[in-house]
Amino acid sequence: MVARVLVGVMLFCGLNIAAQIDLTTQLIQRIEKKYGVPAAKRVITWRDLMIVKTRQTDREILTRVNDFFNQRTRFVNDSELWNVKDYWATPLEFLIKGAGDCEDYAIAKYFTLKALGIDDQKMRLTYVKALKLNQAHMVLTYFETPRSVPLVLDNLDTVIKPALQRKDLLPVYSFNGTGLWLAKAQGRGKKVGASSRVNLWRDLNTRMEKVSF
Amino acid sequence: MSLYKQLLLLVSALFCMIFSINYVVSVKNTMEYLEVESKIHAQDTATSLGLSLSPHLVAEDISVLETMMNSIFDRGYYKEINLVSPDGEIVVTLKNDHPIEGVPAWFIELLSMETAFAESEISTGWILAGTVQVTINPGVAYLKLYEQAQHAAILSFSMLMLSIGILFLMLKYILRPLKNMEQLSLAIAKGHFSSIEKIPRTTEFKNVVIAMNLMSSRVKGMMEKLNRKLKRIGEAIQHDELTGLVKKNGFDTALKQMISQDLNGFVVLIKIDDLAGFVEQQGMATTDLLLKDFANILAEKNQDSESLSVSAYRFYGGEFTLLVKTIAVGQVLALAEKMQGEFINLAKKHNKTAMAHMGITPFNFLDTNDDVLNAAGEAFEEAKLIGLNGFCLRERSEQARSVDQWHTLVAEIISQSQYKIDYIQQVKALKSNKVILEEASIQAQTKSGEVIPARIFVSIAEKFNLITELDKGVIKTVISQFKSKQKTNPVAVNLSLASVQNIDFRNWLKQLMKKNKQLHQQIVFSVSTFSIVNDMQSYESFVSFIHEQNGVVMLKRFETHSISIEKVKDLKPDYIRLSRDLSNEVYSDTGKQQFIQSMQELGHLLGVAVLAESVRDIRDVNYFKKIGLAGNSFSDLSA
Repeated sequence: MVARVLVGVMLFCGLNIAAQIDLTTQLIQRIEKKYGVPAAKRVITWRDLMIVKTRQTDREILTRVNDFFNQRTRFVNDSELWNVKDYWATPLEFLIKGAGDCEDYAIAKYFTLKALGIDDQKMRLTYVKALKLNQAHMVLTYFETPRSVPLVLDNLDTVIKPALQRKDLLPVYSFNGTGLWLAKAQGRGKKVGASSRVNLWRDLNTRMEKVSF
Repeated sequence: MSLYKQLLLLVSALFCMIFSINYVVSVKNTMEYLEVESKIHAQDTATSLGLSLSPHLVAEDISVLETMMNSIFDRGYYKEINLVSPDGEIVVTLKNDHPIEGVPAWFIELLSMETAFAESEISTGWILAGTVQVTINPGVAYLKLYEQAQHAAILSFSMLMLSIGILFLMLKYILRPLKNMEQLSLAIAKGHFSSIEKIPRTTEFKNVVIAMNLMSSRVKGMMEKLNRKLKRIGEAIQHDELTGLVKKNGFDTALKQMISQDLNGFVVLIKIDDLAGFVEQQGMATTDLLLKDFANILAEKNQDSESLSVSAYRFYGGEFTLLVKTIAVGQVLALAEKMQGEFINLAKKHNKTAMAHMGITPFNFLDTNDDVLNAAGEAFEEAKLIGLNGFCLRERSEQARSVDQWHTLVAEIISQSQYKIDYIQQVKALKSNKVILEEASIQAQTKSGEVIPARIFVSIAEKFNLITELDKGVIKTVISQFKSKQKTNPVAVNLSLASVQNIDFRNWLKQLMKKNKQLHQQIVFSVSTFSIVNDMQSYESFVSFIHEQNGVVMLKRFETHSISIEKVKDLKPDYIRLSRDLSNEVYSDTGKQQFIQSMQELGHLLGVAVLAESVRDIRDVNYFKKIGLAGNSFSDLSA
């Protein structure tokens, strides 16, 4: 039985435009059976997080999602967690494990925000250098307008701050999920360049569609 | 259409389909690959150009930005490169609107590819500074696709031709046994029971060939058995059991043949004196010995003389004949004298006062068998008057006309067509009583109304090479009677050997038959068996010629000894009409019965209808009905 994760846009209460990731009861039961109660609880909380009952500002949604992931999961290296050097986990995998690295945080936040109706044109996954740690890092950035200074959703500094206040981070490169979604849709199963980053993104999206356990 | 052609067409069509599909798929795959590659190319260019431009965006130095973009753009792979500000304003734009070269417009229309477009954002630090938009020039991809389509087309076509070529050879090889089988079956249908030596490897063909060979050999065996039987019966009918000499019907045929071939000779009629008294005195066994001794004397005559051809025949009881092929009276008289001496010796041996008398008579082409035998009978009577063991040569009374007079008369009648056609010997089917055929017979008379006997008329025509003209005339008359509806039943037209041999006659007949296709089955070309025995080859080619024209042939006056059954099998006439002798007194003669029955079986196998002629007795008709003979004519219908 293949469970479905529907990423869709629907009218909610006639007021809000909200997005919903549909996690079926069977799926949650299977998660509980296979990964234990805490994993299932995290998934249920995540599902509840995405059910929006009142109209909220983008800023409120950003804070809720950022806090949810920063508080309920812990940072663990891919090599320790997945036994591979670099692994981009799906939000569900991330929550089931209850742990992940910086990319897993950024990705989980990106998809959750997208499901909650945040325009993905306003979001970027940004490669940065964590100056204090002297290592590569990834954060999710939010642009109010194309020219505005973005807000940074990070797992190192759990408070959402404008990017200019984050002197500990040096921006390197940012990319938008939509373009890669397109690339994925066109190129699945075919040769899509040699970029391992794109491959990772593609793998991630494929896994998100399958949700195989 | 032959199986070979059907298979070749079908498989070629399938090949054609497969190669076409393969070609279309190949071109489509190339197209899709090129589309994806273009997309990646666009994205890679946008990303790398974006990263390169990013430091210069801070300074907002447009000329540097444009130069950098130009350096990429001028490589020619791009249709358009834009640098767009975060607000959506175009800062720098580079365009190449040259039409696509080297690719025909119909090709672009037929295989339209999506123009690849990609964009990449440029940031200065945390802040978005713009977007690079790259549109790939589709000309390069189209050119590549066009070349690929051309190469693939050539390759596909070559492969298709090669495949069809191989298929052509393979089919020829695989279906070759079928051709042999077809030929064998046609040969069997024609009565040639051969077999296929080379057994094919294809299982089905192999089984069929083996079965056909078996069938063919069985029928062949059956035919041979039938042949042997017919030959045996034929000989039994032909030869006298006691003396081994040929019987009267053999004499009749031989004499008729000689007369028809314009050969002169003598007939010697010999009768043993008072055989009945001898039987009474000495008994049957001694009489048989006497007859055997007597027959030996006659039979030896052929071996005695190298220059003289003599055949001996036994008619009935003590009645014998010799057929001597010579025109020298002296030779015949010398022969008679020699025999006279031998008869005297034989008479002494058997204590008989007088042994036999001989009546000798010459014959020529104007005679009939009956004339000759009557004359011989008269000579015999004279010989009896001469004395013991006497012989007499009786010259023939002169004919009413000289040969030259006959020649003039007959030539005139033929050239002016002064003869009538009568229809005689109506042969009716024994089953349905429908008329199978009638025979066209010539009725010629002089201007004064004197009827010329047909046999004399024909003999003169044959002797003076007028017969082909006569045959043509008869055929033309019969055709005109068919056309005027005077005749509706099929008609047998008698042809002479001269016409059968004549190439001009065949050409004439071919033209005539071409013009009268509706009459092909209505005219039966009939030839007397005894007339063709000396030129079987001509007749055989004539039969195949007539069959090629879709015509019908009949071999009439068929006798047991005139032609071998093996030959009948090769000739395959449509009808065989048994001689009068064979057609009569069958009910009481088991030899004839066996022969006719075997003939009928053979005819059935070969598709030849066997007919009887001038049947006199209803018991014979009943017998023919019983064995399934096709039809017969009655004696009272004959002229």
